[in-house]
Amino acid sequence: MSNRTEGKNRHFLILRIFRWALMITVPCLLIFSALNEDKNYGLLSILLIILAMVPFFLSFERRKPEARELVVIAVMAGIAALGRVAFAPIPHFKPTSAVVVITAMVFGPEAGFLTGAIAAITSNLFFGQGPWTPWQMFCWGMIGFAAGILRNIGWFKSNLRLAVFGFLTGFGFGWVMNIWYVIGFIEPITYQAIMAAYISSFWFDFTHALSTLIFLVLLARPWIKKLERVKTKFGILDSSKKL
Amino acid sequence: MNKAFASYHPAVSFSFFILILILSMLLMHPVLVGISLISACLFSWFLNGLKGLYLNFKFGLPMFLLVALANPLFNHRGKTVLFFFRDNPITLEATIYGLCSAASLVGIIVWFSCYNKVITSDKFLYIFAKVIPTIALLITMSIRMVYKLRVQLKMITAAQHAIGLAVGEGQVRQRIRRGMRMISILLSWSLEDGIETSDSMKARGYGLKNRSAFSLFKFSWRDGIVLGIIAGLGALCWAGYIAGYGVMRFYPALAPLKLSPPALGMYLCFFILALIPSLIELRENVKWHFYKSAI
Repeated sequence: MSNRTEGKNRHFLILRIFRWALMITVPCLLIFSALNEDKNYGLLSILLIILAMVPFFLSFERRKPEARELVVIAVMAGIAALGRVAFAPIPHFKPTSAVVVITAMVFGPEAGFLTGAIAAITSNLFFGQGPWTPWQMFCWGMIGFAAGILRNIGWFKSNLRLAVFGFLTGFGFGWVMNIWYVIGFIEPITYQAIMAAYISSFWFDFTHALSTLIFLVLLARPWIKKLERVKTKFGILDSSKKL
Repeated sequence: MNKAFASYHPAVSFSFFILILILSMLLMHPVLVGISLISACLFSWFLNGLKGLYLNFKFGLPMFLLVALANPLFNHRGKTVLFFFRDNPITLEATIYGLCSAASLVGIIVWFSCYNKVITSDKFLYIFAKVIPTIALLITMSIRMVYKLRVQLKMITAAQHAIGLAVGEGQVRQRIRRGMRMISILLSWSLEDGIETSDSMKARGYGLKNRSAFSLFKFSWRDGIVLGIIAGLGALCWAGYIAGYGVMRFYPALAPLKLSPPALGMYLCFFILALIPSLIELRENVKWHFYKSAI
């Protein structure tokens, strides 16, 4: 018996050392590589984007959320991801942002951020993970977070405002993703190259914005009603008092 | 079969993937990028067979073309002008850089597809359960949810079809309305289902103190040896990178390929590192072959 617990302790020790080693060495090496001569900004930008998301995840982690909150976010993220997979034949036409916005409008900024970020990871299992995954997590997470905050200050009173917000998120998503593309693959980065990247992405961003608008107009009211019902019935994620 | 590398301790496979992904992003050198891409494809072939490799290419090829074409079109730096495209010079240097970064990107995509095959949800939970338990659980649950939602959607489609409300029939307006109806059913069904799941989780003591996650992983000698080899080769590659052998100078003119002993040593280290999982699979396959023929 004592032998067994000892083995277990040793086991945990190995894991702990491994984790700390990984957590400390990886960022240090990356920062060092950025200061090194070749200036690998692509990798550094990914690291910074991940760091930018850490506070959101940690505050959720610290709060020790209920099982019900977890399940609701998992379901909404699953629906958002499935929507992206279902509409894959039409490029850049996806309901993901709309689902994230609706979730944020009912359950608040934190749930919105998590739904968006996790929908990005989950849907990329079907589209292929890559260095862009943290960027997409950040973009969709921020869309959810912004929608939640706007709801808290009472901005979504009319359908028109909601539609405008949906349309803008489509462009915002594309523009942030363009930054990643320019940093990651264009060398050297010039003003013309940045302009060219933004001009050539216009129609993709427009399709994304349009699809978000369409899905928001179609889905928002009935879904919000449904989600509000579930929220009151089971008393979940009532973060209306918090920012 | 073909699960040799996956049978190692998660710490081994996870650190391998972290290391190879970072190195693949960092090293911008035609030789090293080629090594990364080829060994990633080899491992993917071991894991998924030719079909998986084909899927990778179907996804990777458009991305390869997009990135490879973009750089020479947007950038006109470099000494050697190949030709003029709409009065803009297309240079050899920018073209080579585009090809290089495109190949590096496709290599990373293929490595990620291998990662998805090797690091299954239980391993992911095992690695992250102590650091970020809730987020790790959330990610795992949501991945599982996508598959569950698909099954539920199929059942809803069948039921709607049976009562004469198939989505594929009728006018456009009707179709849209029926489609909306289906998604709406899916939403309420999955949410109510989810609440039941969470109640069940709570009844089994989710979130209580001193709860541990079940796992069957044991760190044995062979894991330690492979982890040591990976760490050693990774350190050598890193040293080579710091010494400047990992990155080639593209502008203003292509630097000649370095073939000095340290540079060759770095290529060799990276080559062996990238081949480790494939070698493990190969060894297992050969062993299996001999066991079979011995019967």
